[in-house]
Amino acid sequence: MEEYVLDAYPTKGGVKLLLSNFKEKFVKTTFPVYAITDNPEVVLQHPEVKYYEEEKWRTLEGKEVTLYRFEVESFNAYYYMRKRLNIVNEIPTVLSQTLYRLGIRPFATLSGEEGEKASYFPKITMARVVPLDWYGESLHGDTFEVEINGERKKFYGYPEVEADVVECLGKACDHVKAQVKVRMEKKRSPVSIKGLVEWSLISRTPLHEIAYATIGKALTTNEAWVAFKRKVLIPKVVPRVEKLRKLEDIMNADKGGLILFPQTGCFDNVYQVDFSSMYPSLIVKYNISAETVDSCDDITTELHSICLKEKGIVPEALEWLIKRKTELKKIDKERAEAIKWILVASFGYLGFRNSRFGKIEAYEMVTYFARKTLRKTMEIAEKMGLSTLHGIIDSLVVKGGNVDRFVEEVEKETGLKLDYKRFNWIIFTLTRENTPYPTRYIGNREGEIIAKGLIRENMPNIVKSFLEDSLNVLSSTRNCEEVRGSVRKIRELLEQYKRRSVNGEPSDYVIWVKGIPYVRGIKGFYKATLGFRGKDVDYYKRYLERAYEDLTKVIRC
Amino acid sequence: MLSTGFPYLDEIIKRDEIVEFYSLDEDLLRVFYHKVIAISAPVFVVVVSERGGLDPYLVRRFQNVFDNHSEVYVRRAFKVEDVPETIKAMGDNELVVIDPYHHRKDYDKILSALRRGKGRKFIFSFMDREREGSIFGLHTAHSVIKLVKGKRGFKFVIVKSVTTREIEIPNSIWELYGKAVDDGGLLRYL
Repeated sequence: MEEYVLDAYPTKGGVKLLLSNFKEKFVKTTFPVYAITDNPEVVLQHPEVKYYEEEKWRTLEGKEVTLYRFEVESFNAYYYMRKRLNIVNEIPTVLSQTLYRLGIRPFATLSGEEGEKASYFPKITMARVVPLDWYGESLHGDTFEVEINGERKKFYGYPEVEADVVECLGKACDHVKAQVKVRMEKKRSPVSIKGLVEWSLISRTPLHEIAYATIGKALTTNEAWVAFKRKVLIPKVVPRVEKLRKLEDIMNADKGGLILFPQTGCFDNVYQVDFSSMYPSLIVKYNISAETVDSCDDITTELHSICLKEKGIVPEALEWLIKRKTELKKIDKERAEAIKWILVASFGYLGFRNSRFGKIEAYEMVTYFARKTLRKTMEIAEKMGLSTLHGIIDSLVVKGGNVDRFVEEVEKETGLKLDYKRFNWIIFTLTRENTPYPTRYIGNREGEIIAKGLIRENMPNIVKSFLEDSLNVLSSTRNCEEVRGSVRKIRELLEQYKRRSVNGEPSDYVIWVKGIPYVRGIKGFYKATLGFRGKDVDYYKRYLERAYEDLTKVIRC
Repeated sequence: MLSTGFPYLDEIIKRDEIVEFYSLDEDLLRVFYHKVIAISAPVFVVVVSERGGLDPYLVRRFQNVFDNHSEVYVRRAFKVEDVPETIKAMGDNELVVIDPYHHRKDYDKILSALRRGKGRKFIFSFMDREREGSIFGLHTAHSVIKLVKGKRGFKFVIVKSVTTREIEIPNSIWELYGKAVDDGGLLRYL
């Protein structure tokens, strides 16, 4: 069986490839370093710079630029040049560019050029090893939770784990055998190890270069590959000057998506209609990218104009990702989730100050079209006899009428894809100030309870557990009448939990705040990592009562 | 024409091309520059900030209060590399620059851009100019005025001026909102 490339490291004179089944391979090569300089001959004086070639590239604005591609023997020379020259095209990374030239793709076999198709995924062993303490995941726990290719096991001692790629936490990393280890405490992205492999695969970047990066790097690398193939220069920083604007222009343009105040109360038989990947789809549909906004007048709006003459870099990168996500949704949810994170970041990154391929005007255009699209959808709903109960950025909750026809009509009118789900009932509630609460609702989607804005990360475990059990009670209700009737059951549940708060498990009292576990003791909060030192029962009882009141207020709304 | 809305202060700085206002009280400085923008309209404004920095609705409210509905032209600079280019793009117009040293670097490029334009400039800075920032900046500004919030109001402290020594000018907080009539007190005789 042929090995897969799991990771790659630059060494002097070539690249060291880490392969599956604990094999390694050395490939002799040089590394390309692109620089803008007036005197390329001087650079050749460095002993590790082999030769250079002159190339014609262009800027994002279309201006031709002369670049010099220096072929260097090691990364030492690259780092040396980086301090002294104006180096460009550093995304995709120099190592990724080197592998690309060699026809090597991370997580593909050495001979094949797989990876483009969503159906392809390497046959490797992936594991996740996490030490557990009494309060949950910890760096120094003595129990280990091991997940190998989706199968989960618990070990009360050091586990014997051998895998190609392992995601591990704390001391677990010292007791696993793996070709590539990813330390969870250093990770900055919310995706699993399988998700990271997917990122490495699609962005053609070695795993160690993307494992500890933010979502932004995964996105920018994908965009940068489009630019790189078009020979568009990617500078380190892109200074941008916003066009001169009147105060009203900013008032009109500097807005987010459309959020409605919901009609409060409980509603039977409603439909939630969602645009799938709305923002990325709008970017693709309207060709929104830094270089296309305000460069010609093919599409004019009251904010900015958009040029359609050439496909933008951002839309081209996102189009492929949207397609891949749609295909992956049918094959592998975990990988689809990894792509979804990139798509989620794609819009925000357009307006991010350090974005290579975005600018504020492009960002404003996306929210402008999003607001317009949602308004248009509401108009269609009204025309077709559906009443809109709530709308939030890319989704509407509607009641009555023929939803199938409505979705068809909206898809035809907007050119975007929609998805809809039926809710047996849905509740929209009020805030403490008695105004409608746009980001909080509870609904029963054919037996599955969807609750937004109710259970927070920083609640004590016992309160989370109480709320989850309460929602389970609601999952068996079929209409609003039954929902209101379930308050008594939830009250009984509260009494059970109040008793449990007196003599529960120590883990019940843990509150996670920004990744640190705390417990509320008699003298105040203390870190759970110091060990369990008692609890303030009154605090937890009061918390449970507040959670109950909050929930019943929603139910009675 | 650039104006602070405080006649005695305007008198002190009337011949200065670059005037820098700073304060450690962010809210006070924020309200103050919104008022200055509203009063000085038509005016060109550069906002240096990663997010926020200028509340167009607050400027509009001040414009209603002071009955000045002339245009306010704005450019925003989000990262440090954008700042000099954005200031240069404003040309020789009279300029209000909000927090140009926000990123705490590239002072030389920013100051060079500030000095290049021929128009008068009001700079509003959230830095403690006595402790941090570039000395270039302090040399560039013809006047440096500190805003200090007190219990009942606030005061302008003239830290640097070509025309006057270091003095303190106390004000009621309501004067910021144009709600108090001030006869100038002893300052009339300055």
